[in-house]
Amino acid sequence: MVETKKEYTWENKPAGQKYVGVRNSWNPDAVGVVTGSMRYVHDMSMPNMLYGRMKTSTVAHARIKSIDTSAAKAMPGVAAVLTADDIPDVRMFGDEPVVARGKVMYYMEPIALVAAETPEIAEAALEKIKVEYEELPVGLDIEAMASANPPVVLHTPKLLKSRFYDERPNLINATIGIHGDVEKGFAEADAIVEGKWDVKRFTHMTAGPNCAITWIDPNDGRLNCMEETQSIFQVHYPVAAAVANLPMSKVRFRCPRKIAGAYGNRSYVHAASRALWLTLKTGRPVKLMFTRDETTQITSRPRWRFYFKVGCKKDGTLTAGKFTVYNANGGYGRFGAGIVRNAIFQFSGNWRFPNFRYDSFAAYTNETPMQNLHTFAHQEVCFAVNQAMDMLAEKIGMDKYKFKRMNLLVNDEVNILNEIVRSGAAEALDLAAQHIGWDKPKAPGTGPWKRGRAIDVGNVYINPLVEKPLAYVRLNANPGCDIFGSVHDLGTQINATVAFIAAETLKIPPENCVVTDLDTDHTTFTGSAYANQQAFVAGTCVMKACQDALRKLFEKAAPELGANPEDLDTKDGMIFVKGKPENALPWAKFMLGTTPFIWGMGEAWFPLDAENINTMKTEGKWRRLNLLYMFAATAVEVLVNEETGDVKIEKFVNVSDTRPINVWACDQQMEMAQNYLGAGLYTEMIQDQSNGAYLNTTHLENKWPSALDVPGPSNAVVDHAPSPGMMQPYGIPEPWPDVWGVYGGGKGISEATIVNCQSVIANAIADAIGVRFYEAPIEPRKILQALGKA
Amino acid sequence: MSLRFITRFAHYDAKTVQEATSLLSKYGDKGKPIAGGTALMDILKKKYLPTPEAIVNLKTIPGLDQVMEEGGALKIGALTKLTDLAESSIVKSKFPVIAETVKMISTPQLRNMGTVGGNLCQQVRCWYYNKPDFYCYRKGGPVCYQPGGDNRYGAIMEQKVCNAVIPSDLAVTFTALGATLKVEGPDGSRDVPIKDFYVTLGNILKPNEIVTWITIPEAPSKARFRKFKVRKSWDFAVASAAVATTSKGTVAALGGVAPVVVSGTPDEVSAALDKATPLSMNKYKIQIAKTMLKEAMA
Repeated sequence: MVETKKEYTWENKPAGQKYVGVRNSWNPDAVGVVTGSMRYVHDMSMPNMLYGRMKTSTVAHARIKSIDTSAAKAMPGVAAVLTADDIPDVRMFGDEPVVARGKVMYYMEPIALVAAETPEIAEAALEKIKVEYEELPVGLDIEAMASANPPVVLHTPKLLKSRFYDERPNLINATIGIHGDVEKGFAEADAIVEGKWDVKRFTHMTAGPNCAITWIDPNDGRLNCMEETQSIFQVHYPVAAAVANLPMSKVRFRCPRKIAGAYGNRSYVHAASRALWLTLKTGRPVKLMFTRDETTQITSRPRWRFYFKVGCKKDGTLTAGKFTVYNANGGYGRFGAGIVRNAIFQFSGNWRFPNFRYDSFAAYTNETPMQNLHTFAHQEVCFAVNQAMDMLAEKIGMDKYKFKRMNLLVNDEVNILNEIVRSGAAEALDLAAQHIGWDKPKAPGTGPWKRGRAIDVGNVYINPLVEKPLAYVRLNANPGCDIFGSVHDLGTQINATVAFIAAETLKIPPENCVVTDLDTDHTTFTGSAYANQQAFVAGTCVMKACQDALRKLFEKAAPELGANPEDLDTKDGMIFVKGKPENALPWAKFMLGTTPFIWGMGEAWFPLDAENINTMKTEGKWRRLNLLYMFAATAVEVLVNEETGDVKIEKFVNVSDTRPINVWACDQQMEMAQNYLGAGLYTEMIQDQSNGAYLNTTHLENKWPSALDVPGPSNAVVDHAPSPGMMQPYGIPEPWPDVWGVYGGGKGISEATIVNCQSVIANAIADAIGVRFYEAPIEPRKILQALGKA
Repeated sequence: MSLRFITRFAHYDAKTVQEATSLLSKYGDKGKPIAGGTALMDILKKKYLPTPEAIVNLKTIPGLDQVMEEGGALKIGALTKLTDLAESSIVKSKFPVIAETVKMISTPQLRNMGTVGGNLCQQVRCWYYNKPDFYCYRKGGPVCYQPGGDNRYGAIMEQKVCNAVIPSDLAVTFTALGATLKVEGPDGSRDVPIKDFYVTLGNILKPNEIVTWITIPEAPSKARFRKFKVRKSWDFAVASAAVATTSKGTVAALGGVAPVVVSGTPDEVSAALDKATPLSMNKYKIQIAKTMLKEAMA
């Protein structure tokens, strides 16, 4: 179908670099994952373990008049039935209780917890719990709920404070960003495009549902929690301790080696926060696994509405943009306050706007509380922005690629937030245009099949909220090493990537470099697995720790080799004077007896403008809100059937501006970003409008595309533009030491790979049949309706 | 609330049809037969219908998993796995439309488990019916939720009291081919033309009856099956059409558009589509059904 992929190599990669920046399929977890021998939390059990379950709400909004647990408690085999009355009132992220307190805010909100000897008894006990509701009006209207006079108010008193418009009773956050004068900018425009875009709810569909095991360690009396996490130190450990009402010294949190899918779902303590109370009340281990329905009804990406007005001159130069965001945040806040603030970064990262105005609103609604999902709003924002850019190009009769290219910020340009952006977006866009053959006319369609193509560009900002991460490496004589850092492998193959970094630095095989499991007892903090930070945050720390350990090893070996430590080198566990490998001594000689190991410590520095990111202040000469932006250009060619509304993806091109450390893993992510084309095609959470419940909660009904529904990994074209590295922080003398990350492979990649996947489908369909769609996904139903055939 | 753990039930391995139907008689509507299990397991886990007290395994009945030719007619045992049906040499050579149909059903893994009888008798996939929290008309409740809810995949014709659509693909092709089903119960057996088998709320089987054989009277001179899926790799039909020409004429059948298979001459079916009664969101299904019909007739 399309050309097979070429062997990608870094430009100017240092000679002898063997594991970093190289295509190598080795992965310590591959066999376990593929053969099914990998143990996930779901597979684990403990002696004397109870099974936890949740009684959940059958209505979207109600006052709980009464809960009768007596019949459930009386059942043989039931060890505990807990309601809000049994648990201290601790709110996760400011407002969300472990179980509903007095009111339910969304369909399937947990109301009571049960622990029993068998899953069957636990389930039977749920049936015996009688809940009496006084139903309240259900608020789902995205704009009305954000207004000063909403149809219904969810939380009284209000627990989260919005930065602006706090008089609006359901608002949890609002952001205002002003750059230049938009009215003046629109007056200067020769062409203006305006639109209203809606993006439906969408969920993670992780392979494994949320699951935790909690227990009390009889040896030290501490509460132990085991749950898959993307953020053990920044969310799970502190939140679990807070929910348990225990000091952190009385809690230990662990995560198994591999996580059964995350995409944002594992950013929140869904299961352990509930299981731990069953353990605290019974003193016994408890396993609480969500059902598939619970997993989907309790976590999903919010619904969005965007208003976008954008103007340009005849020559294509943008003059002004005005973007307004509404987020139907669901019954509780979770990460909603941050997501409406950060959506602005799509504009600050990508586009050269002399005048810009940004307003955003996140409001409570009676549906699933928002959960961050891969790109934290940017795929959705791109759905509006990339379409508007194409519409504007059409209006002034300009080539869409050229129009986007000329309005993209280039490297080291100052953006609307006064940041100096490091960007390889233009180069990535050029490569994508080359790969899709943009300069050649597209082939004609056949019969009812009309051909369309599109090329989009987007970014995901990287703001790891990690200031001074630190890793340890313990060298052993074999030669090998154990790596201690908070490395969360969500399926991103970060365990392999980090092992490659250690192997490259220590010049030993990656098979000898062990990434230890996440455990708050011994893991150091090297960031979390959100915002695509792990490869360069944890990676930088591990690289530095390995360098530190080698320095210590060389200091020990130097006298015996009759040389200065700095003149020594190592390879495959042998130490020698540079250029004289024949007189080598093994690591083992210096790591025996009284000194079995040599430790190295690596600390990195990612200074943040935390003050400014919260206030959106724009004073100062220049500043940096984000560590970096990473960019992707995505191009597709599609066929659209005008008789059935069917859409076939013919070509898929995805280009990032990164230098991949683990080329194999990076390219796999870039290729399988195709699954997210579903967000443009047909994947959505379908909500019943009476109670916000999702109707399609199974893998069958939810319709994520499989590799068979898209061109597939071997037919995708992926490439990388040169990476310009991270952004120089304000007030730190140049060059900032960590600007180049690991071996100059500066950026994380994960989220950028999918950022255009929704918009590029809309733009390609519009190119094929000449109809614009303002609501995603664009299923056959909507295409036929738009064509007047339904 | 959909629940994951399966409630306890009695399980019997039936050795004969007689044993199976008398066990089912004993339990009445509290007993259910199981063959491939791909549909029944869904009910046991989601619990949108009560878990039966007894499940009678039919897979242990010998001889019902055969595909054979008898005087020009094709006889298919109801326990034949879908994969085996598609790979049968008789089917491939003389009834290729059946193989074509099977390949559009579900996924290879599920076709390896699911049986022909199970495919014909499976429950509808209406998302209101499939959720325990919606006590709909089909379950004995007062109302069908589709007209007032999200009905994008609902029925566009012959709705009456229920707007779910028949999910079986084989039912459509078998209808076009004029199949007869052998229905066996404790008191003997009867032959039911497939067009009389389905009714708005399911099929005419009594709780103690099972389908044992499917007979296709003759090989068609021409036959095609077309199915429109939103997600190509794995989905039920938005609409499907089968058209078959035999010595008795040409029959067209539509699936995914009504609680039952809609059939007749191509002209009749086409006219019926023109008189379709779509719900608020699913008028587009008429266009898709017409296209499938046109393609199946080509």
